[in-house]
Amino acid sequence: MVRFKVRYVVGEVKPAQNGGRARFVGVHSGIIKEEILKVVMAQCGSFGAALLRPMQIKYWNPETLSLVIRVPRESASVLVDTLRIWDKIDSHSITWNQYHIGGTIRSCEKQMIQFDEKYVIGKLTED
Amino acid sequence: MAYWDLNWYFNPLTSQDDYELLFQRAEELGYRGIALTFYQKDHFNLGNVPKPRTVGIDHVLAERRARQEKVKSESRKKKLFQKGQLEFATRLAIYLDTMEKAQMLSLNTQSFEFDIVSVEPQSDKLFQHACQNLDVDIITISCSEFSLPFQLKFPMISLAISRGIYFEVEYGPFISSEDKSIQVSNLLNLYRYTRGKNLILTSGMRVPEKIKRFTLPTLIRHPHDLECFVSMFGMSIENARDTISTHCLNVLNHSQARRTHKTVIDVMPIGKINRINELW
Repeated sequence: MVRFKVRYVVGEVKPAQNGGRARFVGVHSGIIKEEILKVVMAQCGSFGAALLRPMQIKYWNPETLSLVIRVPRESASVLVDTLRIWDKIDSHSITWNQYHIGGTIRSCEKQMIQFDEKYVIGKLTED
Repeated sequence: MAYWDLNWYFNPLTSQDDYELLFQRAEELGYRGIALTFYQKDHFNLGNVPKPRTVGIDHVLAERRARQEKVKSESRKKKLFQKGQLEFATRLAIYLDTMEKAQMLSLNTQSFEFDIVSVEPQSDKLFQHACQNLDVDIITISCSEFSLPFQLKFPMISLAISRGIYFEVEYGPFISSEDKSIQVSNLLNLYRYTRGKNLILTSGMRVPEKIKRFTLPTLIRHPHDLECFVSMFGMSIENARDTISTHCLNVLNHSQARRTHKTVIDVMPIGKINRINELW
């Protein structure tokens, strides 16, 4: 029996400047979580930060800049609305593109595979 | 609707006049009764169990009763309306950090002279022991810690609820602390596990040595404020009202049943009977 419902938010972080991907190589999931909580605190206050305290960064790829965030179902809308105005990681400007929001990690896995395929094809055609 | 605040941490250094300020404030806000708590953090054994008279609580309550009687006789002479007077209960709060304390409690809580007995477990094992075996009325969950010292589990909480044990949350840290997100997060977590059942809300006020009138709103809040505050976490207003009224009365009934070994007849001295409600 499933007691706690969650939502998985899948998306991509796009650097504001072209060729800025290399700056995020040293960024880890802890920094991402702190940055998101800072934005939530500024927008929604302590209550919003408390709602998103159980948030987890399930997957972060500093190469492709793709991200999967796990959050309780009741707080999913707060996270989605906050991510739209998230514009900084560690003093680097970024924008957030959300691709998918789902209830299971399996559906996120399918989306991530499609995303990675497009990324690889994009890289190959660049070269 | 009878509102109760079951947790004012007793301070023996506070004067009677300062206590009167607090009691008057509670009456103005509409509280029916309050419980003065003695917080036992150090180790104790069956030989030196704290008692209300040794700790000083009895003295404060006796003074209060004397003043109430004086006010009552004066208003009777002047034929003035006598409003309802504040009722009192005594409470022992035990900081449960060792298994020895837990074993000592499991032997004997009926003879404790305090009305209500509560524990604050500090580990998974002690929380499990408190839910399964201990004969107590309240389990206090401190929401101000970054992470709770034990993990909340459905089976344990359901077992405690079936035994008539209530879970307490103090709203004092929500007012006084700067970073409220930790308290809110812990409270949301607790609400998710209990769904509002067997939950009581208390002020957890540590009575200061000197009380100033302008600090009174930060110490005790109006019951309607608390209903709105609790309903913010997903509870309906009716359930929120229960956390400060019906559930508190249930705790008092549970404590009486615990002290009388759940018998039908109880014997007590006349001095302990509540004159307003129960004296024939």
